[in-house]
Amino acid sequence: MKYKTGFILILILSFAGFLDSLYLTFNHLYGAIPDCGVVDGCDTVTTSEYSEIAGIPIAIPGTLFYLFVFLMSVLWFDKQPKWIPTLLTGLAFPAFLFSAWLVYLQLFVIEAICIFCMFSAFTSTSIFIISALLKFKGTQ
Amino acid sequence: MNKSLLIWASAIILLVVSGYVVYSVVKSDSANAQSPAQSERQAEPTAEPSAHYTSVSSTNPEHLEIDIRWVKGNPEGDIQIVKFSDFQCPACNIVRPHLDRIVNERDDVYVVYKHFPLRGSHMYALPAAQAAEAAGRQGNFWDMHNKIFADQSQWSRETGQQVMNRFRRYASELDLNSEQFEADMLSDEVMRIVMNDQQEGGNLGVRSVPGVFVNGKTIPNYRIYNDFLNAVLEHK
Repeated sequence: MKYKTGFILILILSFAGFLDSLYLTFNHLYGAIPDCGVVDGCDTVTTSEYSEIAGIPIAIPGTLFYLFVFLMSVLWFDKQPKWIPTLLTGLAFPAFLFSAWLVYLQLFVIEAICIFCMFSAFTSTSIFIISALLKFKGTQ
Repeated sequence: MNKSLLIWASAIILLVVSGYVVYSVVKSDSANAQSPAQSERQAEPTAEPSAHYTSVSSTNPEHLEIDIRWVKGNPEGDIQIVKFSDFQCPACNIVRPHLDRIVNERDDVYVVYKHFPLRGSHMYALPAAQAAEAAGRQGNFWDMHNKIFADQSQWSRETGQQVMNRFRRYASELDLNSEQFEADMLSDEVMRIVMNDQQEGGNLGVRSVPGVFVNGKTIPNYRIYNDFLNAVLEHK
């Protein structure tokens, strides 16, 4: 995969993930519940005990993760440092595992789906895959 | 202009502007959610009211004109809070203590409970509504309502048979006539009442639960009581 293509994708995905988790964060901080319409389980998921870890809404580290990935992509477009794919792969791997755990919780424990949370799982997984491709198969 | 500066300035501006837009969307959802005006209500006829409706004596024109069955607080109060609710919805359970507290703390409020079971995603929401209505027939709606909500996280994970047995157990704990309770729970009349509530909610634009209206205006769902109270007082 070409670095430029990969970083354009990462830039877009991290920006979308940032907005998504920022939306969830603001909703959590405002004490509101995202409006996902009648058929979704957003209320079930975002009010569940799993929506916070040690009192911190999990959307906050999510927002910071996407913000950091976004800024790293911008840095790549600015200076093209070679270490960025390695850093992003290392960072996106735990994020991917965490997302996988959250998807598992939604499907099998909470038994409800929050579309905003699933979107975040999609963006973090994609960022991990693209970062790994750039690290191991990146071409100029 | 320096290329680096251009790249970083664009990125920061993009982040700040989009972050502000997201913030504004959430804030406006939280603070200014307006209900569809009553005049926008569809003129679909609702099911014929049964003999079990309650009348409230408030004459405030902002109050929703709906069939009212279950009321807490002062029915002459100036503040009408209507909650379209689903017994299996966690957010409905979160707002429940807020409603109890505001009724206890203020004498100008009445709260109306309306059924809005999301049968698509909550498989026991309808039987729970039927159980509460059936208990209501024997004068115990609110007690049954409290019991059902109190154990929501437990029965939500049970099998259908376990849930029905649980509701029967609640009925016996409330000293209800069990045969009557059983018959009412499965009756067409009770089903019609629940569907009537849901239809009224749909006509008012309820799309998710709980749908809370304060003097005809929707407010968002708040986890924190003071936020809820402020939203109520804004629409007073």
